[in-house]
Amino acid sequence: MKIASRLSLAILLLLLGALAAACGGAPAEEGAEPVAAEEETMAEEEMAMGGNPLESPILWDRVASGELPPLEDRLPNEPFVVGPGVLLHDGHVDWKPGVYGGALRTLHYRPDWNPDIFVGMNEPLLSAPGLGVQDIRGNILRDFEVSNNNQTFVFHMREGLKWSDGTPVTTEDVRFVAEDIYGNPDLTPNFPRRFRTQNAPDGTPMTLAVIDDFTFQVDFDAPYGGFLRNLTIETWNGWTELVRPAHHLKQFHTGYVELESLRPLLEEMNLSDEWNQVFTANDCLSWHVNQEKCIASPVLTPWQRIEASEPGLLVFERNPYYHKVDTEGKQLPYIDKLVSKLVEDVEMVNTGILTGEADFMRESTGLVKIPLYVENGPKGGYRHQLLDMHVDSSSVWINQTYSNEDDPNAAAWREVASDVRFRQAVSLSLNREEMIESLYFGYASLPLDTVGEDLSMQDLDRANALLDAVGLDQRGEDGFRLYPNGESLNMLIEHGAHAPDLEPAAELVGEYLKAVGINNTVKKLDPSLWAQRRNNNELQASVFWAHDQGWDNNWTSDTIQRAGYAWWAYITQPDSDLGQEPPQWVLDAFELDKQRWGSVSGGDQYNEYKEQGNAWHRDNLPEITVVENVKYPMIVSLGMENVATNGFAIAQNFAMEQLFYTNPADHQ
Amino acid sequence: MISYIVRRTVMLVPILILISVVSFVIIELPPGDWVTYHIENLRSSGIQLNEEEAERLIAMYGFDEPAWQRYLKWMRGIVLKFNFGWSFQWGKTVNELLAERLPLTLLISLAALVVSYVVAIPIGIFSATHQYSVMDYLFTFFGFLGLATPAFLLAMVLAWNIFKYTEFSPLGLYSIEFMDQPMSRAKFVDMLKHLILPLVIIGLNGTGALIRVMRGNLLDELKKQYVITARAKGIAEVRILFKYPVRMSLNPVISTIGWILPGVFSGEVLVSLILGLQTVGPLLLRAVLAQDMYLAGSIVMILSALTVVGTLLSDILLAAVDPRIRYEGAGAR
Repeated sequence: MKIASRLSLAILLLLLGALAAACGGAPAEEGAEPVAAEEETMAEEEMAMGGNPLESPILWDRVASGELPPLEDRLPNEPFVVGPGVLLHDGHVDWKPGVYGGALRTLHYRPDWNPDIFVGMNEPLLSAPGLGVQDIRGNILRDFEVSNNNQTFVFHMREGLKWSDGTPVTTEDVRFVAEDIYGNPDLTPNFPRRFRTQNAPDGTPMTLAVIDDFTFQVDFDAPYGGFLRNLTIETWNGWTELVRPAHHLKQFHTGYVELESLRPLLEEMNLSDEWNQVFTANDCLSWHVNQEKCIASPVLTPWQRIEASEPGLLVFERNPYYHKVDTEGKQLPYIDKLVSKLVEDVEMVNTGILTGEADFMRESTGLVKIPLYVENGPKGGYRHQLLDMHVDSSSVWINQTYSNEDDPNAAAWREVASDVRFRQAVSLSLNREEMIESLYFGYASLPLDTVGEDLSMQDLDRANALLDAVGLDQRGEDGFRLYPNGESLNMLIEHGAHAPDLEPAAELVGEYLKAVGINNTVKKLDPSLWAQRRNNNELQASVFWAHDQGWDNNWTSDTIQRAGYAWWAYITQPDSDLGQEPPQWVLDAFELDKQRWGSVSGGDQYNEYKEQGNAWHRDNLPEITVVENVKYPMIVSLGMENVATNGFAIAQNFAMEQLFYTNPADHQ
Repeated sequence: MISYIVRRTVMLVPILILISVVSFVIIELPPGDWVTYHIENLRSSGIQLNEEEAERLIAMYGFDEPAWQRYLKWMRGIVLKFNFGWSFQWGKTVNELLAERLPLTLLISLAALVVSYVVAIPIGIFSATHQYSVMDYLFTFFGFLGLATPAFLLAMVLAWNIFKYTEFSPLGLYSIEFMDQPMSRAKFVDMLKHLILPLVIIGLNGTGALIRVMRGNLLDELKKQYVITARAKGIAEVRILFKYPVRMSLNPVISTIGWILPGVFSGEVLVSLILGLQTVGPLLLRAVLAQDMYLAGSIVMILSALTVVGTLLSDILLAAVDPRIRYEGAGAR
């Protein structure tokens, strides 16, 4: 009995101990209250004393104490000036100079990944109004000169621009990226494509010459007019494409330190001598700004992530060295702080919107939820703003190179699917008007650019006639079409449900195809599995996002992976045994992109190539776009200003540094 | 007794090794890996990674190594340095992640455990001693209701109704305006308000079953000869009750302490998910979804290890508490 009582006492103590430990923090921290109050009065006194009105009052203390240099020493000699028509197009936003203060609260559902914040914080090397490609100008880099028939690019950096830790940004940061990162096979097995001539996988890599501390030159061996665009916003490029904090990263690079000095970090990650993994774990790229590693890394973004008081919370504080000012000379951003709470999934994000927990939300909203947004908006203190979506929402992928060991009819399928009349028939069978009404509530239009009016309108008779002509004229007992060899055709449409509209869109597509006698099965997959099946060329058909034409990137050749994954593999992964040799019309797509990349973005020649790309798309139907120009509801707090009323939602998201609260005290 | 404990402890070693292999294999089984998940994630957010960039990522995160090599590295870290490895999706060590979440997890789990014991044991005793009374039927009714209602459903329904009628959102640990503010009296009160719902739901979740167990056991005991004898000798009813039958009927409660251990560590997964509490359970779910293998593998392994260790602990406890088991064991030896 003695042991028993001792044991139970021990257990009791353990339980109590754990409880005490768990609650322990609270009383002690409660005691800290008077100190905080004291600090507050101090801050008030300072405010009475005044600080520089061109910087946020939350920085005044740090400047007064000497922790931060005065504003003029923190800004570059020539700051980037934001005013009407600068970040967003004239007429897209009623721009006014703002006031400092407040916190922007929002929600995310993947650990350390809030796309709205990542987009809002990104700073590309060059920029153009409204996330476009017309009128490209400097951003992180001050200016550029193009010469030698678009082969030589001289870039001028902003003198006086500083990293968020106060270290100057110089050409050493550029040289470090080009030579020590891109030039190091341990860190970069393949030289990045966008720094190869004409953005081609087999293009010659650029040559970099450092001219002085603030000037460098990049040369290509053929005209690469699209290079500037590639530094602007092409696929979410950021400042880290060419400028990274060399002074910070050298401590993780074996070119500068002994492997042994990285030992503790290697041990922490359970590694033996893979220093490149340690480097990667500390290398804060522009799309990593949500991540833990960017707390310690110097950045150039308007805000920077800081340690939060509880797990799952993302907190970002203003970067005192940010390089943009408004027309009155006030340093941006206006809003002092971003806070994002981790919730379970996209549905919980929307619940959070309804209960007023989000001051700003773009990525996770849905057209289908607009009635709920409207109903709960006044109570939750937010409204929704309809803007354009930058990608076309969904398209039908028909894999013309589909091969799957388990499917004996794969060859018969390839035969049928590679006939353009089959794809035209699929397009003609879709009732796009019904889809626009039921899935997009009328906020979308027919795919005139990439499918054309003729093939966008439902015409079942024509579809049936085309299918008969392709050789699918026999029907089985169930009334569905048979392959020319007499086997029954059952098309497997697999989608990953990456976005809320993909699942209903896929279901509708399945119904429409059945109406013209194409039997099919619609299946929802986990996104990882979906990707793996695509990468193995095992997807027969799918419904997924369409070409990203709003982005002006490789949208012509990128459609090849949707038209025939084995063609794509043949060209992009020459070592892969998946590859099948593509026909000429596929090769044309790469040629079109190459030519477009060679031309100067936004120029007449460029626009000509762009139209040729669309015509190529309409002629070949590499994928069957369902709709174009989809709208997007963006959630903003009622007291928020400088919110766009026109243009891309993503462009507004991108211009987050100019948002402000009319009454910041209400948004602490 | 001591040799028994030593023997059982030694037997744990091969079991734990097996558990570690199984945990790793389970995480490796589904198609794809963290890098493919990550790349899909980036692509779905509009970052178009070229094939060469994807290849670079695979190498940079060490996924070009065969699985057994990664397993050995992982185990070496755990055994030599108690380092459970690196979480790719969070960009920090598994140890740090668990350390951040354990206080809240333990607080909720243990407090809920206390709630469930404090509510269930007295009710069980009352029901048994007042068998077939109105109150017994009432408790039985609610006990079965509690047993049959999934806790996560209750959490959803209650959370929504609380928000609907009071405009107080009971999700998370703090209201949005207190997030990332320094701790203050108001914030502490806010936290307590948010804790009530999870404690009630998780606590009452186990209550229904415990009431039934307690009631059944005690009823069996109350009919035994020694109780009748004691009563015949004129010992007070309350003294009889607590001196032997209640203690005897607690045995099943003690023998299940071992299974409670992993539950305490992970927290109530579904309820935590719905109420947005950052406990270990949701961490595991996200790790599995993202195929963040060292994190998921570590949690699965720790949970399994805790189950094994917990079973050992409850065996020892039972032996310590109940002389009969101790003597039987001695006799068998």
